[in-house]
Amino acid sequence: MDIAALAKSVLSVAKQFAPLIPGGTAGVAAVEALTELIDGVSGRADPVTNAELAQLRADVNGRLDRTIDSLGDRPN
Amino acid sequence: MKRLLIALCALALTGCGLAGLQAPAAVQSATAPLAHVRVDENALRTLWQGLDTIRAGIDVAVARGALVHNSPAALRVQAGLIAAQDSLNAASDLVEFLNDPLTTLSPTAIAEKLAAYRTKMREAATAFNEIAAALRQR
Repeated sequence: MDIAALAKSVLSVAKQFAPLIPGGTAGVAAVEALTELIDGVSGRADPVTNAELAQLRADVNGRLDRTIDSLGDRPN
Repeated sequence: MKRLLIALCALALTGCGLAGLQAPAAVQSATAPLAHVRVDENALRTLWQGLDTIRAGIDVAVARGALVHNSPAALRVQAGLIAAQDSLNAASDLVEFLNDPLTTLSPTAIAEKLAAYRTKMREAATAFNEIAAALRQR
């Protein structure tokens, strides 16, 4: 499975998410954001470095932790 | 709804073969005791970014009161996010280890690590599915 096919699969899921998110605008914005990043991925010729992936992972983990906490008390 | 399920199934299936593996010939040689393998990180990168985008949508849902703190729906979405996060972190650990230039393993060990990586990617795809189901039932 190449990256373009994977990106299409993720985009398909995001598009399906759009109507599920309250306020269609937010959903559409989310899809557009994903489309942009997928365009960036598909146009990317050089491989991601480990350091780049580690930075992305750290950034997303930080935001995810805040969202997870906003949803409820964490299970023990 | 069927389209949603189809899309999610497609994602789950792609999770099995996400990595573009660039194994040197030495990996395939039974005579080589140790070898190095490089996993294409782009698949992992795309899933992290996809999860971040979905997270942004969930933030909007929380801000607008559509998902209420500690409600059953919010907790179900939370469980999906935690599962996806855990799976992608585990997959990232494996990729970082395998792609370290100093990592040399036996072909058997490499195969085991790659199998574990694929399992974690499949688990992440399943978690995406669970998040979608939780939002649908909200």
